[in-house]
This record gives sequence, structure tokens and C-alpha cells, in this order.
Amino acid sequence: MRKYKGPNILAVFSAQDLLLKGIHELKRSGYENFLVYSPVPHHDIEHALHRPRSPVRVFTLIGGLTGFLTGWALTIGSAMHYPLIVGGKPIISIPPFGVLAYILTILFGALATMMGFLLNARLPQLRLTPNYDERLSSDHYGIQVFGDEESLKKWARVLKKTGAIDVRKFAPTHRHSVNVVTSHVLLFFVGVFVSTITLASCTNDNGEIGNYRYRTDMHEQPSFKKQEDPRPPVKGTVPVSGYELPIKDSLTAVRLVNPVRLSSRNADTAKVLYETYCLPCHGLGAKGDGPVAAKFQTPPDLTLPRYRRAPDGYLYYVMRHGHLIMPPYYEGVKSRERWLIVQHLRTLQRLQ
Amino acid sequence: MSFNLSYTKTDLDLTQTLNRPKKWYYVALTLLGLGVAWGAGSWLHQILTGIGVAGKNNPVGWYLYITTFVFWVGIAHSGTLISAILFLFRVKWRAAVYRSAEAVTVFGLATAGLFPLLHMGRVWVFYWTLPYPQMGGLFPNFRSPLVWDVFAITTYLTVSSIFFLTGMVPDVAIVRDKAKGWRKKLYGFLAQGWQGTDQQWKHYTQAYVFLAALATPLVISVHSIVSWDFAMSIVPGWHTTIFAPYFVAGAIHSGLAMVILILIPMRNAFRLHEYITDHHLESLAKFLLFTSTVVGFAYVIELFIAWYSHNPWEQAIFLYRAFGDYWWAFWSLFLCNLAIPQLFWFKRLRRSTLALVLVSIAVTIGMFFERLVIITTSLAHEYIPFMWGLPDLTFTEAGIVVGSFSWFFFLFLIFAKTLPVVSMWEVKEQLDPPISGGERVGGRR
Repeated sequence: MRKYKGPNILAVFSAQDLLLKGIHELKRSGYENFLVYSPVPHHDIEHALHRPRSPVRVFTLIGGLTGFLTGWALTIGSAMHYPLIVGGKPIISIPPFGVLAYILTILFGALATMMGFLLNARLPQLRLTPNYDERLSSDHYGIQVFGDEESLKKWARVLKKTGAIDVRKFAPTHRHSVNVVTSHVLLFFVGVFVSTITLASCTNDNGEIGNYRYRTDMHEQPSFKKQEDPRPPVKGTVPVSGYELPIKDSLTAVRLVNPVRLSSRNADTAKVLYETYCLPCHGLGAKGDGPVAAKFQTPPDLTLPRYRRAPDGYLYYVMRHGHLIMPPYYEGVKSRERWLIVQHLRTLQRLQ
Repeated sequence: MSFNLSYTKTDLDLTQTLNRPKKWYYVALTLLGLGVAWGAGSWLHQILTGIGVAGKNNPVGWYLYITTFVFWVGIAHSGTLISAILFLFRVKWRAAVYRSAEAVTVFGLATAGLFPLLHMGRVWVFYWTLPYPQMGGLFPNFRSPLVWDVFAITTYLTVSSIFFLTGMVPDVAIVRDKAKGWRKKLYGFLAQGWQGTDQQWKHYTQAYVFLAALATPLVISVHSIVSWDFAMSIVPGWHTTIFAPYFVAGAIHSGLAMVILILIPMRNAFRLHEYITDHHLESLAKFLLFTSTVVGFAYVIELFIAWYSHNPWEQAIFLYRAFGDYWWAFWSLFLCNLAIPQLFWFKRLRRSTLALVLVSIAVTIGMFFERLVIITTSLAHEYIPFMWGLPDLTFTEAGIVVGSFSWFFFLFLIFAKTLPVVSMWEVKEQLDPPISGGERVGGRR
């Protein structure tokens, strides 16, 4: 026979001592399949019933421990996954992570206690026991005895004798025995759980579910991919160092006059610039014997007479736009610096 | 509790609070609704325009928002103290007042919880504060007290809501059994099928003890963590070890004042004099006296340490607090939080409703000033004189602060008329149960 299910009688009492008498009658004959209704919990009723202790405390313990472990796992795990030193603290900083473990112990413990209470007390149930009496929550007591026809008849008589003011009989049909709402609620949570798992398994590291991007983190910016160039400046943007006029071709270039005169002050700058940008291929003395040239392609000896005769503007033009395999130094080297290098080249040619 | 109460009378008296409200109730609700609307409008303006309209600027980037946040978190604390700690200690006078105190906790946190959102520049990405892997699996920085704060406040709100609602279930069942029509359906849903069987009570009482035990450490820890938002930094006036206990004491101090302020009008409006007696209020007043001495001790110790430490910055900030731009707030917090509650050494004042209300108002104002002084002065006068400056109070910021107060009382008014404000089953638990043959009227056990 199932416990607390099936045909039953409800005996209503108006006083607690009469209720206790009724409980004693049932207990004395060893009959356990009954429920007691009371407006408040009372030690006398608990003693008389002598039922096993509630297992809710186990839920609390397990929930608390789960929270404690979750706290450490979340903090240490995430710190290990993305090791980033912040504020000079160790990657695994025990004291601050302990704060999180402590908080989650309480949070999980409380949620598990709630769960334990609901599961054990068979709540929520959106339909009351059909035999429920509305006086029971306020100032009356009740004993609901479950069992077969014969024992119910007997107990109705006994409880009436002990002082029940009212004894009601109820035989549930099939419809009553199934708690539809509870199963729907359970189904809802199972659905939420399954869909969360499904969604979580579809996400990737870029914060996408399929093609849909749910995350708007800081890297969500108009610069498209990690390997792409930064965005070009707006058309017509002028650098703070000044704007270089375009040169049509080398014939225009040869007419340009070197605006820079070499002096004792800028000679060193010119030398450093040459040795930074040109030396690797052209060599220390511009003879085309640089360390890169030895393994790559030898540039011409710039001290040859035809380069001595070349106008400053031509050398400047080659530096700016490149020539054959020589790359253009339009962006790396500024206009004035190029003119300085031309002057240094002239010095090297004169030294020859 | 008075001696001529019975189970029947208790239920009748305490469900009467849910009857159709009088006119003043709707007037108050409308006024508070307007306050909430003002706050909401200010927030909308701030979201659409930018955080600049809140007057946030260097050096005082934390001003009234954080002050109000700390204030409301503090208000929340006494509720849990009364409902959980006093429950574990089996303090009898708790039963009549704890439901309202707990409502103060839940609504205080519901107000405080808005503030992290309110002072976000881009509130639509609020979920960045949650622990989920952002780009490349980067989690929030769990070494930061601000992240602890998110966890602590969320946990506190969750646990206190669970505790609040769990304590409510048997009472809602009583209301359900007395109600008719659509109200029966509504309260039937809220009661979730509670019938008061011995099985349900068995699990219920144990769950309730454990929830109380779990909520108890939160009274200490949540405001400690809030205080670490400040104490973990190196700003003079904030960087002290006393901050955690100092904030917790202050929180309970302000919370008790708020509970008294809520209980007295409620008792008069609902005629609950038999349940919330002068004895209850006197107990709260004694408690307030105790916390005021603890808070006063913390104030004095702070000053002492500034002198004793020989730390020039610490000394400078305390001189600035006492004699600088905020001298009025500084001295009024000594007056309101320490001096005025000392009146409760006199029994006559502890039993006077008027004195209780006036002192509680003083404490509420004083505790708001305390947070204002701590937060603003330290930021206004940090190490480098070049960086000194004062904040401006803007219309938007004031609107949100007014809105937060309205929101809190708005929620409480709705609660007072929809749910039982005094726990019926716990009041009844302290009465003698009905006995057969004659004496049906119980008294205090």
C-alpha cells in the first residue's frame, strides 16, 4: 500500500490535546499511514508522532560543499586558463579566491536547502488534497488516515470517540492521484536544462552561436580580423610632420634642389640615418658590400663616376620611390632625412 | 505580546491588514510613484546622454551613487540580523517584527542592487560583471573587491529572498484559506500547496533553521566586502583594517533605525499594538543604543589611529574631514549617530513613540552623512594637491537618489497591503495552543 495516497478520512479537531489523544490511539496499534495537520509546528505533536528526522540537512551539506568547491574551481580554473598577472598578485591568489569560495558556499547551500525542502515536502503542488479543510491552517487540527475501506471505517469510529468534531471520507479517482502541475513544472526545468546545454555546446570562442554573435566585447570593432591592417586614415589626412608634395617622374625630380646643407651639427644625424637605413645593403662606404647584399643581391657601387654625376634630386627620387629591387622609403624615411642621406652619400663619394 | 490572544484572534487581526486600503494609502502610493518616475526619467536621461550628466568627474568619481548604494546595503543588514541571528538565539520578541525587518532587507537590497547598474556608463553590457568567459576565455578579475561585491550582493539578495518567501508560505496559506474569488487563486499560487501536514512542517522547520544559519554569516560578510571596495585601495582615509567591522556596525545601526521608522507608522495604521508592543520597540531601541556606541567607538579609533600612526596623509585627511569643506557633515554624524541615540539610556524615551521616531530619523540622516563623508572627502583630497577638487551635485543625480528612496517605500507599501506584515504562524507558536474543555484563550508561554 502506498504511503499517504489513496482513499482516506480526515478527522478535524478543535484542540491540541484531543489531537494528541488521536495520534496516541493510532500509534498504539502501530498504524503509521496517516498525516497530521496543524496550524503551527509543536514539540508535543513531534514527540507523539516520533517520525524520522528530515533529510533536508543532507541537501544543505552537499550544496554547501558543492558551492565551496565551485568557488575554488571557478577562480583557480579561470586564472589558470588565462594567466594574467593583475596588481602584482600571484596567478592563484588564495585569500581573495577564498572570499568567492565562501560566498558560493552560502549561495549553493541556501539554494540546495530550498531544493531539499521543496522535494521532500512535495512542493510546489498547485492543487490541494481534495479532502483539505480550510480551518486547518488557522486554529484547527486534523488527522488524515489512509487505508482500505475496513480500516478507514474503524479509525473513523475511534477518532470520533477521541473527540474529533468532524470526520470526512474521501476516495480519490484516477484524476486526483496524478499531480499534473508538478510534472509540468518538472518538464519545464528539464527543458530549460536541455536547451541551455544545447546552446552552450553550440557556442565557440568568438562568442558565436552558429552565425549569430551574442557577445559585444571590446574586440568587436571595425578593424576586421587580427591579421588585417589597421584602418586607413580618412582621405586628405595630413601628418603632423607636414605633407609631401607628389613628384610626377624622375625628370621632374632631377630639377629639385637639395634644401639641406651639411654642417658640423647635422653631419652625425645624416651618418646615423645612412647607417640605419642604407648600410645593410649598400655597405659602410656605399660600395655595395653590405652584409645583406652578400647573401642577397649586390647593389651598384655608388662611388662610381656615373652616380657622382647624378643630380641630388635623382638620388632623392630613387630613395622615395625605389628602383628595380630597391624598395621605396616613402614612409620609413622622412623627406628631410632623405635629403640628409643624399648629403652623406656625397661625403662618401668625395672620400673615395 | 499581550495575554488575551488566541490562534483565532491572531489570524483575524493579522489578516485584516490586507483589507481594502484607505484613501491615504493611494495618495502615498501616487506620491512615491511620482518619485520613482522622476528617478526613472533621470536614469533614462543619463543613459541617453552619458554618465557626465551625473556630475561624475575627477577627482570625485564616486559621489552620491556609491553613498546611496552603501546606505541601502546597510539598511538591509538589520533585517537579516533580526530574522536570522535572533531566530538562532531563540529571542522571543523577534516573531512580531521580523517579517517587516526582512521586507526592509529584501527591498533595501532591491534598491541597492540598482546602483551598480545606475553608475554604469554603458548599462546595456551589465553582464560583463558576471563570471562568464569573455574574449579568449578571460574571466572577471576575481582578485578585485568589486567582483566580490557583485557576488556578495547577488548572494545576499538571493538568500534573503528565499528566507523571506519561505517564512511567508504558511502565512500565505492562512490568507488563502480565508480568501474568496480571485484572491484565493492568487494566494493559492503563492502558498504553493502548503497544507501544514506534519511531513511539511518537519522539512520546513529544518530548512528554516539551515536558511537562518546560512544567512547569519552574510550579516557580517556582505558589508565587510562592501567596505573592502574602499579599504583595498590606497586612498588615505580608506586604507584601514578597521573598515570591515566599522561598516558592519554602521550597517546594523542604520538598519535598526529604518526598521523602527517602518514599524511605528505601520503599527498605528494597522492597529497592531497588541502584537508589536512597546516592549518590542524598547528592545530595538536598546539595540540601537548598543550599535551607536560601537559606531562611536569606530569613529574615535579612526581619529586615534590617524594621530598614532604618524602617517601625514592619514592625518591630513582627518583634519580635512573635521575642518574642511564637509565639516558640517562630519560633526553632524557624531551628533546623529553617537550623541542623540544616547538618549535611549532613559527608559521613558525608549518607550516614547515620538522619541523613537525622531532619534531614528536622526540616525538615518547621520548614517547617510557618514558614507558621504567617507567617500567624498577621501577622493576630494588625495595625495597630490594638484588633484584636489569637489564634486557638483546635478539634477540628474539628485533625481536618482530621490527615486531610490521612493522606490524603497513604494515597494514596502505594496508589500504591506498584499502580504501579511506580521508572521502569524510564529506569533501563534508563542501562544498556548487551543485546549479542550473551557480555557481556549491562551497566553504567553
